[in-house]
Amino acid sequence: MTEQELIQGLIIGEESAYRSLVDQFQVPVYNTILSLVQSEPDAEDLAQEVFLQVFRSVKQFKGESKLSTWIYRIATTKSIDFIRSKKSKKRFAFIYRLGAPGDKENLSIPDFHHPGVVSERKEQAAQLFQAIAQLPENQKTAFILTRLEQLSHAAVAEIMGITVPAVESLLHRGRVNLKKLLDKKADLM
Amino acid sequence: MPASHTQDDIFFCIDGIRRAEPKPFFTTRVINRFRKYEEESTVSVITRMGWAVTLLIILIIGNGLLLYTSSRSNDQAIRKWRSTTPRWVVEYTEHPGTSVYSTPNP
Repeated sequence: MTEQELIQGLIIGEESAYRSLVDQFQVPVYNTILSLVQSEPDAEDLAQEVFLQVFRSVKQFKGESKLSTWIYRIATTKSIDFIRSKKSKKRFAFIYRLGAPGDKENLSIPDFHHPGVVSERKEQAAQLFQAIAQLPENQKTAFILTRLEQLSHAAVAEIMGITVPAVESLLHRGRVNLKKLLDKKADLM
Repeated sequence: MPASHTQDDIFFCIDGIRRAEPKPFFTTRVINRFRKYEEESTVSVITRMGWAVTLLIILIIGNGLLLYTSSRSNDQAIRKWRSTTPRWVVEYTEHPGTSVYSTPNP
């Protein structure tokens, strides 16, 4: 099934087209979301929402970019929105609890173990993911799409709606920030 | 951090990482959720339309009742006025074009 046939199938509501789209994109969508939100249940839920949005708004897809670019864009946007809302909820809960005596809970990032990491590197990967979680949104997105999804700089630029030099700059700044964060963590240990 | 874990070790530990896959039957779960969403949105459209039609009917009935009761009370008022007012006043009021002189003097 070509991309055009797939889009046509989705527009007319063919179940085989829906199944084909999900089969084709479930791994990249889930992997990207999981790397960004670092929680398996949330990633599952968000990945489902991404496909629902694709089904609902496929009629508005103008075909100016590849279908995969559009789907990646929806996935990253949903993940970033989710992270923002989670952060603001956490902040609100923290402020709310400030008054409560004896509560030691803080805004720390929980350990995340990516299921694709081999067991002997699990500990190192957890440290790296903790540092990734602290990066600014656009650096995090660029880093994950290039390093974990193995996408080209041009593809990442199209997904993020920026130029290739801007992606390279984000990746450079991301690497610098990650090294700083890892250094800081090493000093604390 | 253990001495063996240098910063580079950590930084490149995700090289060659296997992509994470969702739990089995993900496609079925997505399709089921979409069907449920479609059903719910159809039901909600029907419900909303039902409410709109009901509201319209109530509005029309209310208007009809209001018109009927007001015209009835008008009729009653006119009838009462006719019975208590002198006949020549009634006739002159109901036929304003009529000359006062052609109206029989009571």
